[in-house]
Amino acid sequence: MACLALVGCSSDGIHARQTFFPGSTLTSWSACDKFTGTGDVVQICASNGLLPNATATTYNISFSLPNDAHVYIAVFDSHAALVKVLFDQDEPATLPGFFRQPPIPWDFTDAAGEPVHGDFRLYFKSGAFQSSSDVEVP
Amino acid sequence: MRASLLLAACLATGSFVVSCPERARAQEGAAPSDSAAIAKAMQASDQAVASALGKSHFNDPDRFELGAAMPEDYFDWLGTFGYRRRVLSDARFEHYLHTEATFGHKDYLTEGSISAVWYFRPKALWHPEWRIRPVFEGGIGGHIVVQFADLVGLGDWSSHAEAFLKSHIQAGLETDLSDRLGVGVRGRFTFPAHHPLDYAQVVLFLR
Repeated sequence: MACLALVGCSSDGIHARQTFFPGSTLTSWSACDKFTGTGDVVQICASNGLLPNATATTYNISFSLPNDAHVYIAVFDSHAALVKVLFDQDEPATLPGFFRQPPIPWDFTDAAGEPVHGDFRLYFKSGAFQSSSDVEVP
Repeated sequence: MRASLLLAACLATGSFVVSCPERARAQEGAAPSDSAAIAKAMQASDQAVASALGKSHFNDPDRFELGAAMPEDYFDWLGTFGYRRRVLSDARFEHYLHTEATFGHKDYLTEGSISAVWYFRPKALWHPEWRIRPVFEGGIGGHIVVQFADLVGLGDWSSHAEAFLKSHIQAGLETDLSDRLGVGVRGRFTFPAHHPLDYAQVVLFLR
């Protein structure tokens, strides 16, 4: 009842950080079970799994590049703040019809190695190509 | 009536033993042209007084405000620019429309907002004659806030906007630096909100 006496029952702060992701458009990369492209464009895939010699499940990102290129993969939280850079280096072209091996794992931690929870958006950028995938970490 | 009796006594006795009111004597004894001059002078005097009061804090119909605010949440500082206008005055309250634009930036995040708040100021708590005046008012306001996030490493931006309808209580102090310039400090409390203190603000206002 006290809430009804006041205008606006939202508990959001006016000058607080807003929630950017996932937003109205949920993005998602397809699973890495099968290569479906022709090999002449950039392709990305990702899936949760246990990599060889790993002790915990990670979110594993792989991609195929038709040419040598610089690749940047980073994790942002729901407020669009950078959480962790997963990959930032030059990468040779992948074999046609195959994804890069091994994939790039994200162990659900931030740059300091602390576990994180909530909604996140991963960005992949290579030259003019850019793609993203939303991930919820329970 | 009493002045007329005194004047009649003065005229009847022809003396100034009785203390006669100066203005009554002047009016009674003046020629028509003098009366017009006196009336004109009095009108000019009234206008001068009204004009003097109109430029002071006794009559503060509108003002511009340039300020800085310290919000409770992510941002350290906000720059503020506001315009406030008294729109109504009834027996118990003065009503003000306060519009404000804010700008903030920290790290990767940039914010801009515009607000319009209708404030009710209880007259019982408002003392315009005081040199340092406490200000206490409540109101209802609409806010539109737009934020731009720099997606670090991508050379790209993401933006998001939200609209808020909120209740506010504002309390503070203000004083005049001159007839037209003043300074104020105040805190704005917002309901409902995660953080009870929306921001603390210092403003320089120009009438």
